[in-house]
Amino acid sequence: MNKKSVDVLIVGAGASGAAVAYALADLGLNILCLEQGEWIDRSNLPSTKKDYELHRYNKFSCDPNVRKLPQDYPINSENSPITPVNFNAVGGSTINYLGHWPRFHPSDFRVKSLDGVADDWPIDYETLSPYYDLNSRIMGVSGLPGNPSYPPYDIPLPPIPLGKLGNTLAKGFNKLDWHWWPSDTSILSRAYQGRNPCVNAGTCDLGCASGAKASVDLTYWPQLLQKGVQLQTNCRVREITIQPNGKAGGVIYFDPDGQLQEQKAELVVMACNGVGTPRIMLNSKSKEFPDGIANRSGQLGKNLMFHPLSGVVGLFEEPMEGFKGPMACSIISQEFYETDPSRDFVRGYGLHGGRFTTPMTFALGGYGLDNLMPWGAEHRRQFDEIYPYCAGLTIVTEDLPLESNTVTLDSELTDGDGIPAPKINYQVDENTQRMFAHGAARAEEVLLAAGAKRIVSSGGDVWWRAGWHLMGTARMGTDSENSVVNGWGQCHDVKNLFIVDGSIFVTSAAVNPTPTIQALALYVGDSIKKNQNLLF
Amino acid sequence: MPFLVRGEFKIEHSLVFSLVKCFKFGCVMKSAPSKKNLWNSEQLFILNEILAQLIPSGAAGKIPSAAEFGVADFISQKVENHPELKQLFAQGLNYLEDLLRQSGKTAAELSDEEWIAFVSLLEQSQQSFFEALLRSTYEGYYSESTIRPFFGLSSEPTQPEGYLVTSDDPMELDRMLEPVRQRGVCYREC
Repeated sequence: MNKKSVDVLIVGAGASGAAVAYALADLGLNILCLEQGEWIDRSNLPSTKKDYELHRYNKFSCDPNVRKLPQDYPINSENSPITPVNFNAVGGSTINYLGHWPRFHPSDFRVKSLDGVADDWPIDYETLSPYYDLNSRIMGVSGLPGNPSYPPYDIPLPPIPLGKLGNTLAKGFNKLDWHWWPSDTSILSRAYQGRNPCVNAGTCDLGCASGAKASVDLTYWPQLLQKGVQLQTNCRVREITIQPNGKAGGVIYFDPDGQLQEQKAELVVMACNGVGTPRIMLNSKSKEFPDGIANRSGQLGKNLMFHPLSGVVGLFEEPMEGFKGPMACSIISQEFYETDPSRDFVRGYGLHGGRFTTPMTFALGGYGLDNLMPWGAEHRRQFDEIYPYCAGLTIVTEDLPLESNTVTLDSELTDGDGIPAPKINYQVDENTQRMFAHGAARAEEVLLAAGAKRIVSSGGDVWWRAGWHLMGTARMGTDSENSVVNGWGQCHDVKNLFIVDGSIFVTSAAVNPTPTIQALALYVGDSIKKNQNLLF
Repeated sequence: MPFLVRGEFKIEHSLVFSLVKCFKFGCVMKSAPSKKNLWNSEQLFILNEILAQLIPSGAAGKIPSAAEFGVADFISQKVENHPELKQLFAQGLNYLEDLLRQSGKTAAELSDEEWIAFVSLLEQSQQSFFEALLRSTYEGYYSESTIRPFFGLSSEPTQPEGYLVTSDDPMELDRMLEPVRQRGVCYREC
């Protein structure tokens, strides 16, 4: 069934889809967003239930292969040590992300020029800076200005409390004379624009019932709906259509009743994350694009980057109260962020001091892991003598792009509508392995300097459910031979098809990507406004 | 008046009182009866003895074992809702019944040491079942809200109350960050 054509069709109502809609919303265009999930009921989130931890391993898992909700698609990650995680709803993964909000460094956009690896971005920090600022004001970011690890920028709200754990770790960094700073967070330290401040519940991944954590269903979408942007939920896009003139024609999608529909559009914008976007585009095959729409370069689905994570935990004399406060945010150290030629790796990593965890998750091996802790007397001992006294650091490494790390379409596995599932082929490269070894040793030093009696867990394998950050699979570039989109998100091969999510990252940096994803989406939207003569 | 279980843990008097009352009057039994009939009474007895070994009681009995919180009911419901687990649990419990028969004793006659030896055998020879059992035990035990205060957490949902964390004094934070500022800019200009 054909529907009336819209001016702009956005696929995905998460972090990037909302931001690009915001940039375009004042033009008087007819904008429609299709979202495969639905609105979440904030009064019924797991954090409001007595058995809240159980939901982390069930219908509110970050892992779609565990949740298995009708709006989820399965992901075959048998050939990867890291499985992608996400959430499918209005708000996307901002519903269950942890709200850590560091920006990229200026050097992150210049890795080829500075370090001879990967590629430079076609844009730079200066270009994105005003969009970072705008997005901070819309989302409501807390933090302390003046971090010497960055050029100066404004932050709307004061930092969230470091807590006992953060204060303890900070002393360790000071003893070693290493960089640290209170984390920037998209979590409110004060009431802001009708939203309540953080209550330190410590269960950010289970949905923030108080609304202190900025998810775009709370921040962007109310404004967008007021501005006339249309949003249809429970609509799952199968493919982007191509017209004889080489332009995208719109999409074919399953409506809430499971009926196939066609939606035509003048402009199509993909905002489905670094796995979902290449999945749909690879599934959009035609005579013109037998390997997937806008894939003449063959780069679509390649260069998948996560941020491989690992952690080091120290045991302290006093209880660290690690279950209180925003899960992933307290302090950040970027002492080892920039390339240092004296090290045996290029680029760098961050040491993130978040909080610890809740009892069930401790028993099941930690957040992002599936290693059951011992039973019997040793179980009792670990809970009584270790759990309350733990503080740790997460090593967040820059993942360099490799063509062999890919998202492809699975030949057998499908979602509930029969659309092929994504298949991940991924290996942690040697440079990252060396970063882990370096980072684990440094984290141990800090923890001991901070007063840890001993280290109870160090480095080891990367975390399995650490695929939060999905990047690189439709990368930006000036050369259409080796990139999918140009410097403002426009597909080289299809002029009215844009991508605004983490797929277009050229490199990953070593920080959480959502602030940069949204800044990019705002920038792409603004660029569309300014370059309307180049759209068709 | 708060009870001190460990130096750091203030446990609400009412909670401890209710636990003590339950122990005293037998409403929390080591082998709590299951509401479901997935397994027969002997299997349930065995399961509860195993649960008591997987997570033993602590703090001189003040922290209950996994057998004392209806974890068997939780596991029974989980198995009911996950048909793929039914066969696994049936096999695992049969294995335990065989072990018991071979021991020549009744379940009630086995000592803690003998039950621990059973669990070790189970861990080695029935790995899939053991892992499913252990995971379910941890899920069932730690989803019981009254257990959380023993580890310093509230028994209430985390929202809307949350926890009090004092904001950092801006002057003190500035003092702590002074050495970091003193070192100057630490990003590469480009």
